Amino acid sequence: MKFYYSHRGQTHSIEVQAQGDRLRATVDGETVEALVRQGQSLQLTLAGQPMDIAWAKDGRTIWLHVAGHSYQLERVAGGRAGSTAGSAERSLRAPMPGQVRKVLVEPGQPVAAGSVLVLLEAMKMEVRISAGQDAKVAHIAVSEGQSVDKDQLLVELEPTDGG
Amino acid sequence: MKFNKVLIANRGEIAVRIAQACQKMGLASVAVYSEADAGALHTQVADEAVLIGPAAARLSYLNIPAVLAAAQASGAQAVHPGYGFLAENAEFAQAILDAGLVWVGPPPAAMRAMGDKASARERMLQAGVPVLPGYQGPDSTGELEAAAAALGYPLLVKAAAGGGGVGQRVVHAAAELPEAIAAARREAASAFGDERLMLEKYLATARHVEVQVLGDQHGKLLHLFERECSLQRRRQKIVEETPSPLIDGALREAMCAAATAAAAAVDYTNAGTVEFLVDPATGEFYFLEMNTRLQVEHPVTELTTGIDIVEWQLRIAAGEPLTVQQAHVRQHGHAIECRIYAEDPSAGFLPQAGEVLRLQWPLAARVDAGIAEGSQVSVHYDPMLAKLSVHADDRQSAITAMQAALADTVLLGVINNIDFLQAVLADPQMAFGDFDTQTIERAFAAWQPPLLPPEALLAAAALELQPTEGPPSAADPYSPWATASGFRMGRGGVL
Repeated sequence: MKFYYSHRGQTHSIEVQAQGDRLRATVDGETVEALVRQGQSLQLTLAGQPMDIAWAKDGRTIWLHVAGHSYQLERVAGGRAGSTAGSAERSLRAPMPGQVRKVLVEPGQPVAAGSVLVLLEAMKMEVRISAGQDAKVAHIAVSEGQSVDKDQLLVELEPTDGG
Repeated sequence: MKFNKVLIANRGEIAVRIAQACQKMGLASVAVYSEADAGALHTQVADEAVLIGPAAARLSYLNIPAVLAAAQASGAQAVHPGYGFLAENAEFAQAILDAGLVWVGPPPAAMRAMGDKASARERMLQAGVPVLPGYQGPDSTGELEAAAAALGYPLLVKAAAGGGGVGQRVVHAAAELPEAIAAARREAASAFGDERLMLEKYLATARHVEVQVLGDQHGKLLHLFERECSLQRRRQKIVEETPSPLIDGALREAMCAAATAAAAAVDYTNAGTVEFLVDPATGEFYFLEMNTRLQVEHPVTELTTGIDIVEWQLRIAAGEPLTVQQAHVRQHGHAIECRIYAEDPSAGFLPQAGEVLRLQWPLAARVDAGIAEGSQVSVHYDPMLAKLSVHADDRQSAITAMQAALADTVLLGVINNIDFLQAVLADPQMAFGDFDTQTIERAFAAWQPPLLPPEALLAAAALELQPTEGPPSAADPYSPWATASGFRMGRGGVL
């Protein structure tokens, strides 16, 4: 089976075959074999080296603690990395939960790359949501004073001609 | 003791810390909480918990009548404010005293004297405590311009009433001054209702070293040595240690003496911290401010001196005399503290929220935590989640121990700064003890978290393939780790 995961904006793929507690996988073109144990944590043994991996799952999000560091992965559908990157630039979402302090643009308004569209306030900090490229405001999904969750859609942009 | 029930006017790790100190001393403790903190760890650790208002701090943790009412309704006879929120609010302290309760902190007069930067500066000058060259006095724009010309640039325009960097502007040349004065005045007026300004020479690179003091109500005043707090981001400390690797014995002695002189000048009692800036070029030190409360980083002092500062705060408030002599206060070994924040260091330290899905603390560290597994980290308050502190024979061993403690900490579900702290501790500047208050922003601006290792992808795929319920896969009896008897599946696994 092939799985796709997004980590910090990059999509990674892994192809795996399971045989009992053995896993044969192709990661970035290289084939590795591992022994898998499920105990209090997940135990992977690669080339005779056992490794304990603490984990947590929340919907499509997987959190892993591997060799002293934490990683947050998102399971994504395969082969659509290009289009998701494009839509991410067009759909501006709240980077954190907070409150909309100001909406600085109107639908239909052309905006230049870097111009601030929405001001959010969270944890006593002001967060500026800016356009990543020259574009036109297609839709504003929030209003001033509204509370928003992390990843909630704020503004949709559409590319301008020639942009 | 003079009281047997203490209300803790705070939340998070410090409320937990104070509740534990109360338990140790046989005192009952009362937590307060906002609607956003229902079920939070501090409400569980304390003996009782009282709801004081909605999530917004000004309606709950900063709401003096609500906190006071909670104290009275619960029958608490003393109030410990922790740090932040109302801890340095002299009106709150006075309200507690006026209600006939014991205030676990310094006298309101000392809090006022140190809270006003201009008056604190004046008093320090009188007490012979070194302050930065500066100007406080009549503050029309013209008078400030004349004073600035005499002082020289760069300088800092500072709100006299202020704190925490609000109402402050760094000015590099005379041409920038009028604009900076206007902006600082506006900020000061809106934040503190007091638009008085003062000037101070600005040190572009400085080290931040502070001295812990402890005074009883019988005239005894001790210092508990210094803490090095130069590693900061956004003017917030993230790594603290003691002893400071940046000062020598003579400087340490001079700073500790200056700190006790500063505290004595305002008739200080209870725990407090005198903050100094040290100019790395000259080795001169200057009074910055006094924090008239318990400090976040007090554990490193406790670990090296063996003195329980929170316990002494309560004893002093109850009128007990300090039983330790200054000559017997000694530092043993080296201690380091790291602050764990819910923030993304690769995205401007943006605060993060979420649910703590998995949490495992290291065994070989002191942990002061405000969270437990299942805790919700909300956007309403300071994003500090916990502190790790380690104690070792020498500085290098302490760094190594802290690195191990950070690597052994499993905190999944909320993006945090643990990887970043590991990078800071591994930096050669840390090993040499060569840093200042700007080091983090200079050296780690482009920091990125570690790249995804193939093992992580493998683990993710393995989790997809594993059934979420059921027996473990066939155990290999010859494997040294085939002891998965505590098999548990579900939402997560712990290390």
